[in-house]
Amino acid sequence: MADLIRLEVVTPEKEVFSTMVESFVFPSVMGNTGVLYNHAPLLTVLEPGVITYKKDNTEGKLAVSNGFLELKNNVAEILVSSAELPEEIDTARAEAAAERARERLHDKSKDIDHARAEAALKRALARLKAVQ
Amino acid sequence: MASARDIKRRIKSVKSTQQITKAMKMVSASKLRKSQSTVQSIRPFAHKIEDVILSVSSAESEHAFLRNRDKVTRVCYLVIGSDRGLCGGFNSNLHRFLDHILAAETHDYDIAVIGRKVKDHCARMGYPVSFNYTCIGDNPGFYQAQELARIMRTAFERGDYDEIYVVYSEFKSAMSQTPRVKRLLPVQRPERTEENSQLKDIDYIFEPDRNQILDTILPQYIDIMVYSSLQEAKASEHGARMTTMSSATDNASDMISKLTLSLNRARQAAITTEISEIVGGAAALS
Repeated sequence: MADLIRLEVVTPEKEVFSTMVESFVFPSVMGNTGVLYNHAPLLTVLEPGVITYKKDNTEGKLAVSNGFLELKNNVAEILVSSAELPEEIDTARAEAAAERARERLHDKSKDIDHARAEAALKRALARLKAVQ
Repeated sequence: MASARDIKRRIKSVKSTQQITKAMKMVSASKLRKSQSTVQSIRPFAHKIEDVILSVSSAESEHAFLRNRDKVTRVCYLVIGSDRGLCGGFNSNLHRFLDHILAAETHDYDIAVIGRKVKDHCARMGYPVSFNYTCIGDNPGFYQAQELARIMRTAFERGDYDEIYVVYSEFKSAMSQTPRVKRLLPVQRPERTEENSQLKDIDYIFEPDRNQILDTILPQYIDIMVYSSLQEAKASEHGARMTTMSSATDNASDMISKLTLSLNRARQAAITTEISEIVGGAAALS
Protein backbone atom coordinates (compact mmCIF):
# COMPACT_ATOMS: atom_id res chain seq x y z
CA MET A 1 0.00 0.00 0.00
CA ALA A 2 1.64 3.16 -1.14
CA ASP A 3 -1.19 5.60 -0.53
CA LEU A 4 -1.05 6.25 3.17
CA ILE A 5 -2.04 9.18 5.34
CA ARG A 6 0.02 10.18 8.33
CA LEU A 7 -2.28 10.44 11.35
CA GLU A 8 -0.93 12.29 14.37
CA VAL A 9 -2.83 12.82 17.59
CA VAL A 10 -1.25 15.33 19.96
CA THR A 11 -2.30 16.56 23.40
CA PRO A 12 -0.54 19.32 25.34
CA GLU A 13 1.00 16.67 27.56
CA LYS A 14 2.37 14.30 24.94
CA GLU A 15 2.09 12.88 21.46
CA VAL A 16 -0.41 10.08 21.89
CA PHE A 17 -0.38 8.51 18.51
CA SER A 18 1.45 8.79 15.23
CA THR A 19 1.23 6.28 12.45
CA MET A 20 0.53 5.75 8.74
CA VAL A 21 -3.06 4.77 8.01
CA GLU A 22 -5.09 4.00 4.91
CA SER A 23 -8.13 5.97 6.01
CA PHE A 24 -9.76 7.31 9.13
CA VAL A 25 -13.07 8.62 10.41
CA PHE A 26 -13.21 11.39 12.99
CA PRO A 27 -16.03 13.03 14.96
CA SER A 28 -16.34 16.56 13.61
CA VAL A 29 -18.96 19.03 14.82
CA MET A 30 -20.66 18.49 11.46
CA GLY A 31 -20.95 14.74 12.05
CA ASN A 32 -18.56 11.89 11.47
CA THR A 33 -16.20 12.62 8.62
CA GLY A 34 -14.12 10.13 6.71
CA VAL A 35 -10.75 10.95 5.21
CA LEU A 36 -9.11 9.06 2.37
CA TYR A 37 -5.84 9.57 0.53
CA ASN A 38 -5.52 12.93 -1.27
CA HIS A 39 -8.20 14.70 0.68
CA ALA A 40 -8.31 18.47 0.14
CA PRO A 41 -6.68 20.64 2.84
CA LEU A 42 -9.10 20.87 5.73
CA LEU A 43 -9.36 22.71 9.03
CA THR A 44 -12.16 21.66 11.28
CA VAL A 45 -13.38 21.32 14.84
CA LEU A 46 -13.69 18.02 16.66
CA GLU A 47 -16.28 16.90 19.14
CA PRO A 48 -15.53 14.42 21.90
CA GLY A 49 -15.83 11.03 20.26
CA VAL A 50 -14.00 8.14 18.69
CA ILE A 51 -11.50 8.21 15.85
CA THR A 52 -11.52 5.00 13.82
CA TYR A 53 -8.62 4.29 11.53
CA LYS A 54 -7.87 1.53 9.04
CA LYS A 55 -4.43 0.11 8.70
CA ASP A 56 -3.32 -3.17 7.09
CA ASN A 57 -6.94 -4.37 7.00
CA THR A 58 -7.36 -3.92 10.73
CA GLU A 59 -9.32 -1.26 12.50
CA GLY A 60 -8.10 0.77 15.45
CA LYS A 61 -9.85 3.18 17.76
CA LEU A 62 -8.94 6.20 19.82
CA ALA A 63 -11.04 8.26 22.22
CA VAL A 64 -10.56 12.01 21.91
CA SER A 65 -12.07 15.10 23.50
CA ASN A 66 -12.50 18.61 22.09
CA GLY A 67 -9.96 19.89 19.68
CA PHE A 68 -9.38 20.45 16.02
CA LEU A 69 -7.89 18.84 12.96
CA GLU A 70 -5.61 20.21 10.33
CA LEU A 71 -5.16 18.17 7.19
CA LYS A 72 -2.82 18.96 4.34
CA ASN A 73 -0.59 16.98 1.98
CA ASN A 74 -1.88 13.73 3.46
CA VAL A 75 -0.73 14.65 6.93
CA ALA A 76 -3.52 14.90 9.47
CA GLU A 77 -2.67 16.60 12.72
CA ILE A 78 -5.26 16.31 15.43
CA LEU A 79 -4.80 18.60 18.42
CA VAL A 80 -7.03 17.73 21.34
CA SER A 81 -7.04 18.40 25.06
CA SER A 82 -7.05 14.69 25.80
CA ALA A 83 -6.78 11.46 23.85
CA GLU A 84 -6.53 7.84 24.90
CA LEU A 85 -5.80 4.53 23.27
CA PRO A 86 -8.31 1.80 24.18
CA GLU A 87 -5.80 0.05 26.44
CA GLU A 88 -5.30 3.23 28.46
CA ILE A 89 -8.98 3.69 29.22
CA ASP A 90 -10.24 2.91 32.68
CA THR A 91 -13.73 1.55 31.93
CA ALA A 92 -14.96 1.69 35.51
CA ARG A 93 -13.88 5.30 35.83
CA ALA A 94 -15.49 6.30 32.55
CA GLU A 95 -18.74 4.60 33.57
CA ALA A 96 -18.73 6.41 36.89
CA ALA A 97 -18.07 9.71 35.12
CA ALA A 98 -20.92 9.10 32.69
CA GLU A 99 -23.26 8.29 35.56
CA ARG A 100 -22.24 11.42 37.45
CA ALA A 101 -22.69 13.62 34.39
CA ARG A 102 -26.16 12.15 33.76
CA GLU A 103 -27.19 12.87 37.31
CA ARG A 104 -26.00 16.44 37.00
CA LEU A 105 -27.92 16.87 33.77
CA HIS A 106 -31.13 15.60 35.37
CA ASP A 107 -30.67 17.87 38.34
CA LYS A 108 -32.53 21.03 37.41
CA SER A 109 -31.14 23.25 40.16
CA LYS A 110 -29.56 26.43 38.91
CA ASP A 111 -26.00 26.22 40.08
CA ILE A 112 -25.08 23.49 37.63
CA ASP A 113 -23.28 24.31 34.45
CA HIS A 114 -25.20 22.22 31.94
CA ALA A 115 -22.78 22.80 29.11
CA ARG A 116 -19.95 21.43 31.20
CA ALA A 117 -21.95 18.43 32.39
CA GLU A 118 -22.91 17.66 28.83
CA ALA A 119 -19.30 17.90 27.67
CA ALA A 120 -18.27 15.58 30.50
CA LEU A 121 -20.94 13.08 29.50
CA LYS A 122 -19.81 13.19 25.88
CA ARG A 123 -16.20 12.57 26.89
CA ALA A 124 -17.15 9.64 29.08
CA LEU A 125 -19.33 8.08 26.39
CA ALA A 126 -16.55 8.48 23.84
CA ARG A 127 -14.17 6.57 26.10
CA LEU A 128 -16.70 3.79 26.61
CA LYS A 129 -17.32 3.57 22.89
CA ALA A 130 -13.62 3.25 22.17
CA VAL A 131 -13.19 0.18 24.36
CA GLN A 132 -16.19 -1.66 22.96
CA MET B 1 38.86 28.48 71.68
CA ALA B 2 35.83 26.22 71.63
CA SER B 3 36.30 22.89 73.27
CA ALA B 4 36.68 19.74 71.19
CA ARG B 5 33.29 18.57 72.33
CA ASP B 6 31.53 21.74 71.15
CA ILE B 7 33.19 21.48 67.75
CA LYS B 8 32.19 17.84 67.42
CA ARG B 9 28.61 18.74 68.15
CA ARG B 10 28.74 21.50 65.55
CA ILE B 11 30.12 19.15 62.89
CA LYS B 12 27.34 16.71 63.55
CA SER B 13 24.68 19.35 63.13
CA VAL B 14 26.20 20.70 59.90
CA LYS B 15 26.41 17.16 58.55
CA SER B 16 22.74 16.49 59.14
CA THR B 17 21.83 19.80 57.48
CA GLN B 18 23.98 18.79 54.56
CA GLN B 19 22.11 15.53 54.26
CA ILE B 20 18.84 17.42 54.01
CA THR B 21 20.09 19.87 51.41
CA LYS B 22 21.59 17.05 49.41
CA ALA B 23 18.31 15.15 49.42
CA MET B 24 16.39 18.28 48.42
CA LYS B 25 18.82 18.89 45.62
CA MET B 26 18.33 15.42 44.21
CA VAL B 27 14.55 15.58 44.54
CA SER B 28 14.50 18.94 42.76
CA ALA B 29 16.76 17.59 40.03
CA SER B 30 14.36 14.78 39.23
CA LYS B 31 11.34 17.08 39.37
CA LEU B 32 13.15 19.51 37.14
CA ARG B 33 13.79 16.81 34.57
CA LYS B 34 10.10 16.02 34.49
CA SER B 35 8.94 19.64 34.19
CA GLN B 36 11.54 20.33 31.56
CA SER B 37 10.32 17.54 29.34
CA THR B 38 6.73 18.78 29.73
CA VAL B 39 7.80 22.30 28.82
CA GLN B 40 9.39 20.92 25.69
CA SER B 41 6.40 18.81 24.74
CA ILE B 42 4.02 21.77 24.99
CA ARG B 43 6.00 23.85 22.53
CA PRO B 44 5.08 21.98 19.31
CA PHE B 45 1.43 21.99 20.33
CA ALA B 46 1.49 25.72 21.04
CA HIS B 47 3.24 26.45 17.75
CA LYS B 48 0.69 24.43 15.83
CA ILE B 49 -2.19 26.26 17.45
CA GLU B 50 -0.54 29.59 16.65
CA ASP B 51 -0.18 28.57 13.02
CA VAL B 52 -3.81 27.59 12.84
CA ILE B 53 -4.99 30.80 14.49
CA LEU B 54 -2.92 32.71 12.00
CA SER B 55 -4.43 30.94 9.01
CA VAL B 56 -7.97 31.13 10.33
CA SER B 57 -8.07 34.68 11.62
CA SER B 58 -8.22 37.15 8.81
CA ALA B 59 -7.53 40.79 9.53
CA GLU B 60 -11.21 41.63 9.66
CA SER B 61 -12.14 38.87 12.09
CA GLU B 62 -13.47 40.51 15.19
CA HIS B 63 -13.60 37.71 17.67
CA ALA B 64 -14.21 38.90 21.23
CA PHE B 65 -11.00 37.23 22.41
CA LEU B 66 -8.90 38.86 19.69
CA ARG B 67 -10.23 42.39 19.63
CA ASN B 68 -8.59 45.03 21.78
CA ARG B 69 -11.19 46.79 23.85
CA ASP B 70 -11.56 50.48 23.09
CA LYS B 71 -11.42 51.56 26.68
CA VAL B 72 -9.35 49.77 29.26
CA THR B 73 -10.48 50.43 32.80
CA ARG B 74 -9.48 47.35 34.72
CA VAL B 75 -6.67 44.88 34.23
CA CYS B 76 -5.79 41.66 35.98
CA TYR B 77 -2.41 40.12 36.63
CA LEU B 78 -2.17 36.38 37.07
CA VAL B 79 1.00 35.84 39.05
CA ILE B 80 2.53 32.38 39.19
CA GLY B 81 4.98 31.78 42.02
CA SER B 82 5.79 28.94 44.35
CA ASP B 83 4.23 27.56 47.50
CA ARG B 84 7.48 26.84 49.26
CA GLY B 85 10.67 28.75 49.81
CA LEU B 86 14.25 27.47 49.91
CA CYS B 87 14.71 28.27 46.26
CA GLY B 88 17.16 31.16 46.33
CA GLY B 89 16.17 34.34 44.55
CA PHE B 90 13.30 32.74 42.66
CA ASN B 91 10.47 34.34 44.59
CA SER B 92 12.16 37.60 45.48
CA ASN B 93 13.04 38.23 41.83
CA LEU B 94 9.46 37.61 40.84
CA HIS B 95 8.16 39.89 43.59
CA ARG B 96 10.51 42.69 42.64
CA PHE B 97 9.44 42.35 39.01
CA LEU B 98 5.79 42.47 40.03
CA ASP B 99 6.37 45.58 42.15
CA HIS B 100 7.93 47.31 39.13
CA ILE B 101 5.02 46.47 36.86
CA LEU B 102 2.41 47.53 39.37
CA ALA B 103 4.21 50.80 40.08
CA ALA B 104 3.99 51.61 36.37
CA GLU B 105 0.37 50.47 35.98
CA THR B 106 -2.00 53.37 35.41
CA HIS B 107 -5.27 51.43 35.33
CA ASP B 108 -7.13 49.83 38.16
CA TYR B 109 -5.80 46.39 38.76
CA ASP B 110 -6.51 43.13 40.52
CA ILE B 111 -4.15 40.30 41.15
CA ALA B 112 -4.87 36.62 40.81
CA VAL B 113 -2.33 34.62 42.71
CA ILE B 114 -0.92 31.14 42.38
CA GLY B 115 1.43 30.07 45.14
CA ARG B 116 1.56 30.82 48.85
CA LYS B 117 4.72 32.93 48.68
CA VAL B 118 3.18 35.36 46.21
CA LYS B 119 0.04 35.54 48.31
CA ASP B 120 2.08 36.48 51.37
CA HIS B 121 3.94 39.12 49.39
CA CYS B 122 0.73 40.68 48.09
CA ALA B 123 -0.72 40.75 51.58
CA ARG B 124 2.45 42.45 52.83
CA MET B 125 2.36 45.09 50.10
CA GLY B 126 -1.39 45.54 50.32
CA TYR B 127 -2.16 44.61 46.70
CA PRO B 128 -5.77 43.77 45.89
CA VAL B 129 -5.95 40.01 45.48
CA SER B 130 -9.10 38.86 43.72
CA PHE B 131 -8.40 35.19 43.86
CA ASN B 132 -5.71 32.87 45.06
CA TYR B 133 -4.90 29.28 44.45
CA THR B 134 -2.28 27.57 46.56
CA CYS B 135 -1.04 23.99 46.65
CA ILE B 136 -1.02 23.53 42.92
CA GLY B 137 1.47 20.69 43.27
CA ASP B 138 4.87 20.13 41.76
CA ASN B 139 3.70 18.96 38.40
CA PRO B 140 0.41 20.66 37.56
CA GLY B 141 -1.81 18.76 35.16
CA PHE B 142 -3.48 20.15 32.10
CA TYR B 143 -6.90 19.97 33.76
CA GLN B 144 -5.70 22.41 36.44
CA ALA B 145 -4.59 24.84 33.77
CA GLN B 146 -7.93 24.43 32.02
CA GLU B 147 -9.76 25.27 35.21
CA LEU B 148 -7.65 28.38 35.76
CA ALA B 149 -8.00 29.46 32.16
CA ARG B 150 -11.75 29.02 32.43
CA ILE B 151 -11.90 31.33 35.44
CA MET B 152 -9.85 33.94 33.61
CA ARG B 153 -11.92 33.64 30.44
CA THR B 154 -15.25 34.05 32.21
CA ALA B 155 -13.95 37.08 34.12
CA PHE B 156 -12.87 38.59 30.82
CA GLU B 157 -16.15 37.79 29.09
CA ARG B 158 -18.18 39.19 31.96
CA GLY B 159 -16.27 42.40 31.52
CA ASP B 160 -14.62 42.29 34.96
CA TYR B 161 -11.31 42.94 33.24
CA ASP B 162 -10.39 44.44 29.92
CA GLU B 163 -6.93 42.98 29.81
CA ILE B 164 -5.38 40.00 31.54
CA TYR B 165 -1.65 39.45 31.89
CA VAL B 166 0.36 36.51 33.16
CA VAL B 167 3.46 37.10 35.28
CA TYR B 168 5.70 34.09 35.60
CA SER B 169 9.34 33.02 35.54
CA GLU B 170 10.63 31.98 32.19
CA PHE B 171 12.79 28.90 32.33
CA LYS B 172 16.09 29.39 30.54
CA SER B 173 18.28 26.86 32.30
CA ALA B 174 18.64 25.43 35.77
CA MET B 175 20.91 28.37 36.57
CA SER B 176 18.90 31.19 35.11
CA GLN B 177 15.23 32.12 35.29
CA THR B 178 13.87 35.49 34.29
CA PRO B 179 10.53 36.92 35.35
CA ARG B 180 8.33 37.67 32.36
CA VAL B 181 4.98 39.21 31.68
CA LYS B 182 2.81 38.35 28.71
CA ARG B 183 -0.69 39.23 27.65
CA LEU B 184 -3.23 36.45 27.96
CA LEU B 185 -6.38 38.26 26.90
CA PRO B 186 -7.19 39.68 24.45
CA VAL B 187 -5.11 37.16 22.57
CA GLN B 188 -2.17 38.67 20.81
CA ARG B 189 -2.16 37.70 17.19
CA PRO B 190 0.85 35.42 16.65
CA GLU B 191 3.67 37.03 14.73
CA ARG B 192 3.97 36.17 11.12
CA THR B 193 7.33 34.63 10.35
CA GLU B 194 9.00 33.47 7.16
CA GLU B 195 8.11 29.93 7.97
CA ASN B 196 4.41 30.22 8.61
CA SER B 197 3.67 32.84 5.97
CA GLN B 198 3.51 30.03 3.41
CA LEU B 199 0.79 28.47 5.52
CA LYS B 200 -1.50 31.31 4.61
CA ASP B 201 -1.37 30.28 0.97
CA ILE B 202 -2.89 26.87 1.47
CA ASP B 203 -6.50 26.92 0.44
CA TYR B 204 -8.14 25.20 3.36
CA ILE B 205 -11.71 24.05 3.56
CA PHE B 206 -12.99 25.58 6.78
CA GLU B 207 -15.65 23.55 8.46
CA PRO B 208 -18.05 24.81 9.83
CA ASP B 209 -16.63 28.32 9.21
CA ARG B 210 -13.80 30.56 10.33
CA ASN B 211 -15.61 32.09 13.26
CA GLN B 212 -16.77 28.81 14.70
CA ILE B 213 -13.29 27.41 14.40
CA LEU B 214 -11.97 30.44 16.26
CA ASP B 215 -14.63 29.88 18.91
CA THR B 216 -13.12 26.50 19.71
CA ILE B 217 -9.48 27.23 19.09
CA LEU B 218 -9.07 30.46 21.04
CA PRO B 219 -10.21 29.02 24.38
CA GLN B 220 -7.87 26.11 23.80
CA TYR B 221 -5.06 28.49 22.97
CA ILE B 222 -5.66 30.28 26.26
CA ASP B 223 -5.62 26.93 28.08
CA ILE B 224 -2.29 26.19 26.49
CA MET B 225 -0.84 29.57 27.35
CA VAL B 226 -1.81 29.14 30.99
CA TYR B 227 -0.53 25.58 31.01
CA SER B 228 2.81 26.48 29.51
CA SER B 229 3.29 29.41 31.91
CA LEU B 230 2.48 27.13 34.82
CA GLN B 231 4.95 24.54 33.64
CA GLU B 232 7.66 27.10 32.94
CA ALA B 233 7.17 28.59 36.39
CA LYS B 234 7.41 25.14 37.96
CA ALA B 235 10.50 24.22 35.96
CA SER B 236 12.08 27.51 37.04
CA GLU B 237 11.21 26.86 40.65
CA HIS B 238 12.73 23.39 40.60
CA GLY B 239 15.78 24.70 38.76
CA ALA B 240 16.26 27.51 41.26
CA ARG B 241 15.83 25.15 44.16
CA MET B 242 18.27 22.66 42.72
CA THR B 243 20.98 25.31 42.24
CA THR B 244 20.41 26.79 45.68
CA MET B 245 20.48 23.43 47.39
CA SER B 246 23.57 22.37 45.50
CA SER B 247 25.45 25.47 46.66
CA ALA B 248 24.13 24.93 50.18
CA THR B 249 25.53 21.40 50.10
CA ASP B 250 28.91 22.73 48.91
CA ASN B 251 28.93 25.34 51.65
CA ALA B 252 28.20 22.68 54.23
CA SER B 253 31.16 20.64 52.94
CA ASP B 254 33.44 23.67 53.26
CA MET B 255 32.19 24.30 56.74
CA ILE B 256 32.72 20.71 57.77
CA SER B 257 36.31 20.69 56.54
CA LYS B 258 37.03 23.97 58.38
CA LEU B 259 35.46 22.64 61.54
CA THR B 260 37.37 19.37 61.28
CA LEU B 261 40.59 21.37 61.03
CA SER B 262 39.82 23.34 64.16
CA LEU B 263 38.74 20.15 65.91
CA ASN B 264 42.15 18.62 65.15
CA ARG B 265 43.86 21.79 66.35
CA ALA B 266 41.88 21.80 69.56
CA ARG B 267 42.68 18.14 70.17
CA GLN B 268 46.38 18.74 69.44
CA ALA B 269 46.40 21.74 71.77
CA ALA B 270 44.83 19.65 74.52
CA ILE B 271 47.49 16.94 74.08
CA THR B 272 50.29 19.51 74.06
CA THR B 273 49.07 21.07 77.25
CA GLU B 274 48.81 17.64 78.87
CA ILE B 275 52.38 16.72 77.87
CA SER B 276 53.80 20.01 79.05
CA GLU B 277 51.99 19.53 82.36
CA ILE B 278 53.49 16.07 82.75
CA VAL B 279 56.91 17.29 81.75
CA GLY B 280 56.58 20.23 84.13
CA GLY B 281 55.46 17.91 86.92
CA ALA B 282 58.37 15.53 86.32
CA ALA B 283 60.83 18.42 86.26
CA ALA B 284 59.50 19.69 89.55
CA LEU B 285 60.02 16.30 91.17
CA SER B 286 63.65 15.88 90.22
